[in-house]
Amino acid sequence: MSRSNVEAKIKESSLAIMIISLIGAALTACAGFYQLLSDTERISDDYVKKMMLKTALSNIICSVILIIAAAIFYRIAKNARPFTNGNITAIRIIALLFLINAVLPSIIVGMYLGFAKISIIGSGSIFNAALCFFFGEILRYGNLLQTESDETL
Amino acid sequence: MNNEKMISKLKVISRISVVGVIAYIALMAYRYLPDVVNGFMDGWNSYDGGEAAADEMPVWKILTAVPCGIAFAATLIIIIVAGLQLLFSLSKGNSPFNEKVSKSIKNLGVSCIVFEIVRTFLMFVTLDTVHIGMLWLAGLVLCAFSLVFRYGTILQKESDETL
Repeated sequence: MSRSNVEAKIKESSLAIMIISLIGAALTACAGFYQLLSDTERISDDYVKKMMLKTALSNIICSVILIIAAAIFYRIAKNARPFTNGNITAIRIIALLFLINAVLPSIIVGMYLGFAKISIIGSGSIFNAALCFFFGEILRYGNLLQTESDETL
Repeated sequence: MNNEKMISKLKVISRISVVGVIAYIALMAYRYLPDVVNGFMDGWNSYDGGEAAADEMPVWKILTAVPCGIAFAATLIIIIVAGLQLLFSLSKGNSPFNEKVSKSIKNLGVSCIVFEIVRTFLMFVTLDTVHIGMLWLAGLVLCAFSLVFRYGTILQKESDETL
Protein backbone atom coordinates (compact mmCIF):
# COMPACT_ATOMS: atom_id res chain seq x y z
CA MET A 1 0.00 0.00 0.00
CA SER A 2 1.38 3.42 -0.95
CA ARG A 3 1.96 6.28 1.49
CA SER A 4 -0.93 8.36 0.15
CA ASN A 5 -3.32 5.39 0.48
CA VAL A 6 -2.28 4.81 4.09
CA GLU A 7 -2.65 8.53 4.85
CA ALA A 8 -6.17 8.53 3.36
CA LYS A 9 -7.13 5.46 5.42
CA ILE A 10 -5.66 7.03 8.58
CA LYS A 11 -7.73 10.17 7.97
CA GLU A 12 -10.98 8.21 7.47
CA SER A 13 -10.55 5.90 10.45
CA SER A 14 -9.41 8.74 12.74
CA LEU A 15 -12.48 10.79 11.84
CA ALA A 16 -14.78 7.84 12.61
CA ILE A 17 -13.09 7.16 15.95
CA MET A 18 -13.10 10.85 16.85
CA ILE A 19 -16.91 10.92 16.42
CA ILE A 20 -17.35 7.70 18.44
CA SER A 21 -15.04 9.04 21.18
CA LEU A 22 -17.03 12.26 21.41
CA ILE A 23 -20.33 10.35 21.69
CA GLY A 24 -18.75 8.10 24.33
CA ALA A 25 -17.42 11.14 26.22
CA ALA A 26 -20.84 12.82 26.22
CA LEU A 27 -22.59 9.67 27.47
CA THR A 28 -19.98 8.97 30.15
CA ALA A 29 -20.04 12.59 31.34
CA CYS A 30 -23.86 12.50 31.52
CA ALA A 31 -23.70 9.28 33.57
CA GLY A 32 -21.02 10.75 35.86
CA PHE A 33 -22.80 14.03 36.53
CA TYR A 34 -26.15 12.25 36.95
CA GLN A 35 -24.63 10.01 39.62
CA LEU A 36 -22.88 12.98 41.25
CA LEU A 37 -25.93 15.26 41.36
CA SER A 38 -28.67 12.66 41.88
CA ASP A 39 -30.69 12.66 45.07
CA THR A 40 -29.01 10.10 47.34
CA GLU A 41 -31.13 10.93 50.39
CA ARG A 42 -33.35 7.92 49.73
CA ILE A 43 -30.37 5.56 49.96
CA SER A 44 -29.85 4.68 53.59
CA ASP A 45 -26.63 2.69 53.20
CA ASP A 46 -23.61 5.02 53.48
CA TYR A 47 -21.36 2.50 51.74
CA VAL A 48 -23.57 2.45 48.62
CA LYS A 49 -23.64 6.28 48.58
CA LYS A 50 -19.86 6.55 48.65
CA MET A 51 -19.44 3.83 46.04
CA MET A 52 -21.78 5.84 43.80
CA LEU A 53 -19.50 8.86 44.37
CA LYS A 54 -16.50 6.73 43.37
CA THR A 55 -18.20 5.57 40.15
CA ALA A 56 -19.27 9.14 39.35
CA LEU A 57 -15.70 10.46 39.71
CA SER A 58 -14.41 7.58 37.64
CA ASN A 59 -16.93 8.30 34.88
CA ILE A 60 -16.01 12.01 34.81
CA ILE A 61 -12.28 11.20 34.50
CA CYS A 62 -13.09 8.67 31.73
CA SER A 63 -15.05 11.31 29.81
CA VAL A 64 -12.05 13.70 30.01
CA ILE A 65 -9.83 10.87 28.70
CA LEU A 66 -12.23 10.31 25.80
CA ILE A 67 -12.29 14.05 24.99
CA ILE A 68 -8.46 14.12 24.82
CA ALA A 69 -8.52 10.95 22.66
CA ALA A 70 -11.02 12.68 20.35
CA ALA A 71 -8.67 15.69 20.14
CA ILE A 72 -5.77 13.39 19.15
CA PHE A 73 -7.84 11.70 16.44
CA TYR A 74 -9.11 15.10 15.22
CA ARG A 75 -5.53 16.27 14.73
CA ILE A 76 -4.61 13.03 12.94
CA ALA A 77 -7.71 13.27 10.72
CA LYS A 78 -6.85 16.90 9.90
CA ASN A 79 -3.30 16.47 8.64
CA ALA A 80 -2.69 12.67 8.58
CA ARG A 81 0.38 13.04 10.77
CA PRO A 82 0.19 10.81 13.84
CA PHE A 83 3.76 11.38 15.03
CA THR A 84 3.68 14.92 16.40
CA ASN A 85 4.87 16.36 19.70
CA GLY A 86 1.32 17.44 20.54
CA ASN A 87 0.00 13.89 20.20
CA ILE A 88 2.83 12.51 22.34
CA THR A 89 2.02 15.01 25.09
CA ALA A 90 -1.70 14.22 24.82
CA ILE A 91 -1.06 10.46 25.16
CA ARG A 92 1.08 11.13 28.24
CA ILE A 93 -1.72 13.22 29.73
CA ILE A 94 -4.12 10.31 29.07
CA ALA A 95 -1.69 7.96 30.85
CA LEU A 96 -1.56 10.36 33.80
CA LEU A 97 -5.36 10.56 33.92
CA PHE A 98 -5.54 6.74 33.97
CA LEU A 99 -3.18 6.80 36.96
CA ILE A 100 -5.36 9.43 38.66
CA ASN A 101 -8.43 7.30 37.86
CA ALA A 102 -6.75 4.32 39.51
CA VAL A 103 -6.06 6.12 42.77
CA LEU A 104 -8.07 9.34 43.30
CA PRO A 105 -11.72 8.08 43.49
CA SER A 106 -10.70 5.29 45.87
CA ILE A 107 -8.76 7.69 48.11
CA ILE A 108 -11.67 10.15 48.27
CA VAL A 109 -14.12 7.38 49.19
CA GLY A 110 -11.54 5.82 51.53
CA MET A 111 -11.37 9.06 53.54
CA TYR A 112 -15.09 8.68 54.32
CA LEU A 113 -15.32 4.93 54.80
CA GLY A 114 -11.85 3.91 55.90
CA PHE A 115 -9.25 2.35 53.64
CA ALA A 116 -9.83 -1.17 54.92
CA LYS A 117 -13.29 -1.32 53.34
CA ILE A 118 -12.31 -0.48 49.79
CA SER A 119 -9.73 -1.62 47.28
CA ILE A 120 -7.36 1.36 47.04
CA ILE A 121 -5.92 0.89 43.57
CA GLY A 122 -7.72 0.00 40.34
CA SER A 123 -5.34 -2.44 38.64
CA GLY A 124 -7.07 -2.11 35.25
CA SER A 125 -6.46 1.64 35.12
CA ILE A 126 -2.78 1.23 36.05
CA PHE A 127 -2.44 -1.31 33.23
CA ASN A 128 -4.01 1.19 30.78
CA ALA A 129 -1.69 3.95 32.03
CA ALA A 130 1.40 1.79 31.43
CA LEU A 131 0.10 0.93 27.97
CA CYS A 132 -0.38 4.63 27.14
CA PHE A 133 3.12 5.58 28.37
CA PHE A 134 4.48 2.78 26.18
CA PHE A 135 2.54 4.01 23.13
CA GLY A 136 3.85 7.51 23.87
CA GLU A 137 7.43 6.23 23.63
CA ILE A 138 6.68 4.48 20.31
CA LEU A 139 5.16 7.71 18.99
CA ARG A 140 8.33 9.52 20.07
CA TYR A 141 10.37 7.16 17.93
CA GLY A 142 7.89 7.74 15.08
CA ASN A 143 8.39 11.47 15.55
CA LEU A 144 12.13 10.99 15.04
CA LEU A 145 11.48 9.10 11.79
CA GLN A 146 8.97 11.73 10.66
CA THR A 147 11.52 14.51 11.25
CA GLU A 148 14.15 12.53 9.30
CA SER A 149 11.71 11.97 6.44
CA ASP A 150 10.74 15.66 6.32
CA GLU A 151 14.38 16.73 6.35
CA THR A 152 15.21 14.32 3.51
CA LEU A 153 12.34 15.62 1.41
CA MET B 1 18.24 11.07 21.37
CA ASN B 2 19.28 9.08 18.29
CA ASN B 3 17.48 6.13 16.70
CA GLU B 4 19.59 3.36 18.29
CA LYS B 5 19.15 4.75 21.79
CA MET B 6 15.42 5.12 21.24
CA ILE B 7 15.11 1.53 19.92
CA SER B 8 17.04 0.08 22.87
CA LYS B 9 14.82 2.07 25.25
CA LEU B 10 11.71 0.71 23.52
CA LYS B 11 13.07 -2.83 23.79
CA VAL B 12 13.61 -2.44 27.54
CA ILE B 13 10.09 -1.04 27.98
CA SER B 14 8.64 -3.93 25.89
CA ARG B 15 10.41 -6.50 28.05
CA ILE B 16 9.13 -4.85 31.22
CA SER B 17 5.64 -4.80 29.63
CA VAL B 18 5.84 -8.55 28.84
CA VAL B 19 6.59 -9.29 32.51
CA GLY B 20 3.88 -6.84 33.62
CA VAL B 21 1.23 -8.36 31.34
CA ILE B 22 2.04 -11.91 32.48
CA ALA B 23 1.86 -10.79 36.13
CA TYR B 24 -1.44 -9.00 35.47
CA ILE B 25 -2.98 -12.05 33.77
CA ALA B 26 -1.78 -14.29 36.63
CA LEU B 27 -3.34 -11.89 39.16
CA MET B 28 -6.64 -11.85 37.26
CA ALA B 29 -6.62 -15.67 37.01
CA TYR B 30 -5.90 -15.95 40.77
CA ARG B 31 -9.06 -13.96 41.53
CA TYR B 32 -11.13 -16.64 39.81
CA LEU B 33 -9.86 -19.49 42.00
CA PRO B 34 -12.86 -20.78 44.02
CA ASP B 35 -10.87 -21.04 47.27
CA VAL B 36 -9.86 -17.38 47.08
CA VAL B 37 -13.44 -16.25 46.60
CA ASN B 38 -14.90 -18.42 49.38
CA GLY B 39 -12.21 -17.33 51.82
CA PHE B 40 -12.86 -13.67 51.08
CA MET B 41 -16.63 -13.54 51.40
CA ASP B 42 -18.46 -16.76 52.04
CA GLY B 43 -21.37 -17.53 49.77
CA TRP B 44 -21.36 -14.30 47.76
CA ASN B 45 -21.49 -16.23 44.52
CA SER B 46 -24.09 -18.76 45.62
CA TYR B 47 -27.40 -18.48 43.86
CA ASP B 48 -30.54 -19.61 45.63
CA GLY B 49 -32.26 -22.33 43.73
CA GLY B 50 -29.42 -22.56 41.22
CA GLU B 51 -30.27 -26.10 40.17
CA ALA B 52 -33.97 -25.31 39.91
CA ALA B 53 -33.21 -22.27 37.78
CA ALA B 54 -31.01 -24.40 35.53
CA ASP B 55 -33.89 -26.86 35.09
CA GLU B 56 -36.20 -24.01 34.10
CA MET B 57 -33.76 -22.62 31.56
CA PRO B 58 -35.18 -23.05 28.03
CA VAL B 59 -33.40 -25.49 25.72
CA TRP B 60 -32.61 -22.81 23.11
CA LYS B 61 -30.80 -20.78 25.75
CA ILE B 62 -28.65 -23.73 26.79
CA LEU B 63 -27.96 -24.54 23.12
CA THR B 64 -26.94 -20.93 22.44
CA ALA B 65 -24.98 -20.50 25.67
CA VAL B 66 -22.64 -23.44 25.00
CA PRO B 67 -21.21 -22.21 21.65
CA CYS B 68 -21.18 -18.65 23.02
CA GLY B 69 -19.18 -19.82 26.04
CA ILE B 70 -16.70 -21.62 23.79
CA ALA B 71 -16.40 -18.52 21.55
CA PHE B 72 -15.94 -16.35 24.68
CA ALA B 73 -13.09 -18.53 25.97
CA ALA B 74 -11.54 -18.75 22.48
CA THR B 75 -11.54 -14.98 21.91
CA LEU B 76 -10.15 -14.39 25.40
CA ILE B 77 -7.26 -16.77 24.63
CA ILE B 78 -6.74 -15.08 21.22
CA ILE B 79 -6.56 -11.64 22.93
CA ILE B 80 -3.97 -12.86 25.45
CA VAL B 81 -1.90 -14.64 22.78
CA ALA B 82 -2.10 -11.70 20.33
CA GLY B 83 -1.12 -9.24 23.09
CA LEU B 84 1.88 -11.30 24.19
CA GLN B 85 2.88 -11.92 20.54
CA LEU B 86 2.81 -8.16 19.96
CA LEU B 87 4.95 -7.39 23.00
CA PHE B 88 7.42 -10.18 22.13
CA SER B 89 7.80 -8.91 18.55
CA LEU B 90 8.31 -5.36 19.90
CA SER B 91 11.02 -6.52 22.29
CA LYS B 92 12.83 -8.64 19.69
CA GLY B 93 12.70 -6.58 16.47
CA ASN B 94 14.95 -3.69 15.56
CA SER B 95 12.12 -1.23 15.08
CA PRO B 96 8.54 -1.13 16.43
CA PHE B 97 7.37 -0.20 12.94
CA ASN B 98 7.11 -3.33 10.80
CA GLU B 99 4.35 -5.26 9.04
CA LYS B 100 4.29 -7.99 11.71
CA VAL B 101 3.58 -5.54 14.54
CA SER B 102 0.97 -3.73 12.45
CA LYS B 103 -0.84 -7.03 11.74
CA SER B 104 -0.63 -8.10 15.42
CA ILE B 105 -2.23 -4.80 16.50
CA LYS B 106 -5.00 -5.25 13.93
CA ASN B 107 -5.62 -8.85 15.11
CA LEU B 108 -5.72 -7.65 18.71
CA GLY B 109 -8.22 -4.91 17.83
CA VAL B 110 -10.51 -7.24 15.89
CA SER B 111 -10.42 -9.88 18.63
CA CYS B 112 -11.31 -7.20 21.23
CA ILE B 113 -14.38 -6.20 19.19
CA VAL B 114 -15.43 -9.87 18.69
CA PHE B 115 -14.88 -10.54 22.42
CA GLU B 116 -17.15 -7.65 23.42
CA ILE B 117 -19.92 -8.82 21.03
CA VAL B 118 -19.69 -12.43 22.26
CA ARG B 119 -19.61 -11.34 25.93
CA THR B 120 -22.68 -9.11 25.52
CA PHE B 121 -24.58 -11.90 23.75
CA LEU B 122 -23.51 -14.47 26.37
CA MET B 123 -24.65 -12.20 29.22
CA PHE B 124 -27.97 -11.62 27.47
CA VAL B 125 -28.55 -15.35 27.00
CA THR B 126 -27.46 -16.49 30.47
CA LEU B 127 -28.31 -13.56 32.76
CA ASP B 128 -31.00 -11.73 30.74
CA THR B 129 -29.07 -8.47 31.08
CA VAL B 130 -27.42 -6.27 28.48
CA HIS B 131 -24.15 -4.67 29.54
CA ILE B 132 -21.92 -3.15 26.86
CA GLY B 133 -18.37 -2.42 28.02
CA MET B 134 -15.76 -0.15 26.44
CA LEU B 135 -13.58 -2.90 24.97
CA TRP B 136 -15.13 -2.49 21.51
CA LEU B 137 -13.92 1.13 21.48
CA ALA B 138 -10.44 -0.02 22.52
CA GLY B 139 -10.62 -2.52 19.63
CA LEU B 140 -11.51 0.25 17.16
CA VAL B 141 -8.68 2.45 18.50
CA LEU B 142 -6.26 -0.48 18.06
CA CYS B 143 -7.45 -0.98 14.46
CA ALA B 144 -6.78 2.72 13.80
CA PHE B 145 -3.37 2.42 15.49
CA SER B 146 -2.51 -0.49 13.16
CA LEU B 147 -2.77 2.01 10.29
CA VAL B 148 -0.55 4.45 12.22
CA PHE B 149 2.00 1.62 12.57
CA ARG B 150 1.73 0.91 8.85
CA TYR B 151 2.49 4.59 8.20
CA GLY B 152 5.43 4.25 10.59
CA THR B 153 6.61 1.21 8.59
CA ILE B 154 6.71 3.35 5.45
CA LEU B 155 8.71 6.04 7.29
CA GLN B 156 11.08 3.36 8.64
CA LYS B 157 11.66 2.01 5.11
CA GLU B 158 12.36 5.54 3.84
CA SER B 159 14.80 6.09 6.72
CA ASP B 160 16.60 2.76 6.05
CA GLU B 161 16.82 3.49 2.32
CA THR B 162 18.26 6.95 2.99
CA LEU B 163 20.96 5.44 5.23
